[in-house]
Amino acid sequence: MNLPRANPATVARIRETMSSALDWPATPIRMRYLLLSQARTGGTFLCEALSRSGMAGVPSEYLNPAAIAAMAKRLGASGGIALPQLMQELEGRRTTSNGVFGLHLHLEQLRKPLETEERILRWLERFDRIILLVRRNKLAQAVSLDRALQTKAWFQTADLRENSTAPSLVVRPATLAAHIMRLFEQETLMRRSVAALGRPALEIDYESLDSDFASLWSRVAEFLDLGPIPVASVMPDLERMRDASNDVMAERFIAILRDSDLARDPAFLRVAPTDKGERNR
Amino acid sequence: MANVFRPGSRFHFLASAECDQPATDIRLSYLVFSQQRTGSTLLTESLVETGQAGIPAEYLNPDFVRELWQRVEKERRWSLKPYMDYLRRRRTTPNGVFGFKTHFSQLEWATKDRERSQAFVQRFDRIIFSYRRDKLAQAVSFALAMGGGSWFVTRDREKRDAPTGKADLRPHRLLKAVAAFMEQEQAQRTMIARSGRPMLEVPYEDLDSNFNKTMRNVMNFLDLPAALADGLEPSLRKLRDDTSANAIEATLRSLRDSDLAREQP
Repeated sequence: MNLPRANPATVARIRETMSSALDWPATPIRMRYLLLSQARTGGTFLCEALSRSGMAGVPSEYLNPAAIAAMAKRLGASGGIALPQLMQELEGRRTTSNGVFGLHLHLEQLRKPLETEERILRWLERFDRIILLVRRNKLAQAVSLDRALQTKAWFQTADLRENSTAPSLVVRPATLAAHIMRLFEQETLMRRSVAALGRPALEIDYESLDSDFASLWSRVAEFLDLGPIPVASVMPDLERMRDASNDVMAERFIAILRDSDLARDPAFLRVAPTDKGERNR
Repeated sequence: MANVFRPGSRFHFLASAECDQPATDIRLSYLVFSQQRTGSTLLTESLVETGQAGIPAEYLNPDFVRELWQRVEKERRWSLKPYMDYLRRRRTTPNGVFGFKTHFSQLEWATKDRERSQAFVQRFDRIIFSYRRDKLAQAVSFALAMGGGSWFVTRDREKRDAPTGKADLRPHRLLKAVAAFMEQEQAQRTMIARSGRPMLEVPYEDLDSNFNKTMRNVMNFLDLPAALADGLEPSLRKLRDDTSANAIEATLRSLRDSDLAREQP
């Protein structure tokens, strides 16, 4: 998967995530959990809710290269930071006072430091519980991913929405097909890893998160033994980015899949910006 | 060395001395530039059948190269230039027409270099671009052929089979093929445009839906009598069936709900 190229808002958010403002005093860890997901599955939204609970660590995509770089900079490690040291620093600063530490991970983020599937599995054995977050609609996921790659916008808040213009997008059929192919492959690998680890696991999907977050939150809270935490108290400030443009991109991709001559019309490939008013939530 | 193709088979025949022609000056050369599962074999077999459009076989199919080269040059290691010299000399029909078919992937295999592929394409006077608009159907057809199906079946029920195995119709495999075919088509169109040569597009769908009209267009493009197309009948049987249609529908459904294609860990 392509590494995300970040826009200023994303860079600022990563800096904020890695800053001391989100640190907790060092606490012995009694439970480590892993949120295993792919890009564009709602993982950041769920992490935000978990962090807001104050009972589930401060899960974030800490092994995203941009986050690693931010942490290294914060620690003054000019030559970068090795995975064991990074994890030690994170566990010392991002474990909530009840002893819970969470990590949000895309499996491919371990590919570079650990290289082999076997070493990755061994490394993952440190986690006591696993939340597997997938998106059933791979076409929508691929469109969302390609939209983020084109716009460099990976999340949205109300402020960002108010200060942004709707993006011009292009349907890139071969790229979308390749995204879908990789998303399927990654999900297979994630499932294989979860099965091999044999830890208690909760499988959830983007579609449930999107349609009924309150129910999904109850399931997650129960799985992590967080006790009853009202969903209203943890609702993130992140907004859904999907709008009519995503649907247009998906429909046109399917049309091109069945008739590639359509891809030769530049007008068909261009997706005009949608009115802000059409955006949801 | 043993034959690569079964004696009596269509490919064996096309690689054999029976198809060699007396040396003739070339007045028109053309390339059928194709991808797998676009109807290009039906197209070239029909062209061969006219007797006036050269012998445009799949000359850069690695098996074909082995079969033909071991017949004509037992001692010399294969390379593209002497191979092409031989073909131009012996595969031009008496009316001076030389036809050559290659899939994009075969050309890349033979030249190992995009610029050399470009130079190769530019050697021809005209280019027939054989492609398939329905890339998902193309990917399904490719998967079925690769997984122990047939590459083609002639009217006489002669089959050219792929290695035995099970067709892999999982969505990610099909989408991988779709992406590859889309990228190939883009590359091919760019190469053809760069060549500046006249091009005729022959989508599979046209060949499939109106064979004789499409062949008439091809004859016109090659400055051959259009009437040659009127007597032609498709020399290959259509392989598309319910299995293909079901695989396409299943893939489209699973794109929007991957649980339908879930693999057991």
